[in-house]
Amino acid sequence: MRYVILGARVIEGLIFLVFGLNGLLHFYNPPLPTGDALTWFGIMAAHHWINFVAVEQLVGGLLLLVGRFVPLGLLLLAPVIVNILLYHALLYPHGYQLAILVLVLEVFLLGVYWRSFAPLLHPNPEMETPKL
Amino acid sequence: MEDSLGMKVVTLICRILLGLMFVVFGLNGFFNFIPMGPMPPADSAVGKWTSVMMETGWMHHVSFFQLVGGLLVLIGGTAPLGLVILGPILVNILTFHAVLMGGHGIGAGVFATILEIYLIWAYRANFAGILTMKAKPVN
Repeated sequence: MRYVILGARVIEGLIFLVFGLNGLLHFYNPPLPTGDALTWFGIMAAHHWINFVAVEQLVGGLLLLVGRFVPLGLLLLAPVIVNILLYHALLYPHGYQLAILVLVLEVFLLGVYWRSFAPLLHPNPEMETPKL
Repeated sequence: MEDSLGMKVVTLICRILLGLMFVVFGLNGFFNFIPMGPMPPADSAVGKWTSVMMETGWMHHVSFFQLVGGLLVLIGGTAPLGLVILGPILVNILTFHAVLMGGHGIGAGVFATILEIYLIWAYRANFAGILTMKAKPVN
């Protein structure tokens, strides 16, 4: 189990580190989408909105990869993944398989790091926060 | 941590303000009861972006999360989870106004962000688990 967790953390971390860096440095330019997706992506890129997303991906990925502040990294990546899924579901299904993979890894990691997230749901956290 | 009565009242007021704002905006995303003034020109970046977000139904998902986050913050016992949901929405509200609107209309977003940051601080005990450097997974 230890190695499964380590593997999931490293793969999820690497994927977002690479995508985050690529969003800023553009070392790989995937083929552009078409239709509404192209309109949407063109505006996000031209106005540098994508750069904010890339920085979040980069920071989240890096935290997972180095294994420090892993729960914070998962928290940063969760909304990014929600929006990646919405993009593929609503605008452009092409390439959705990678989105499913990062979702599965994220949910698995949220599960195994659940102790860190449990106090969020607790009305009286000081009583219950475990010593981590 | 024993908060004084004054702090508890401040926290309660911030929770109600932030929660209500997002419940109202979330509901408005479905029922459009707030008069919004003229739409941005259809050929502008904002106009094109907004129409894609509307026509694909993406905006309805955002509204749904605003509504749920706002309700959780209002309910109180679930406020920290609500704050976690509203956080990334606020990041995108601020980014939208900064990059697409040139800062126009960013006031409400900045106000809500101040409430959000104060509330995260007020509920910091709930966030302690997430902000731990060497968190260990269960084995």
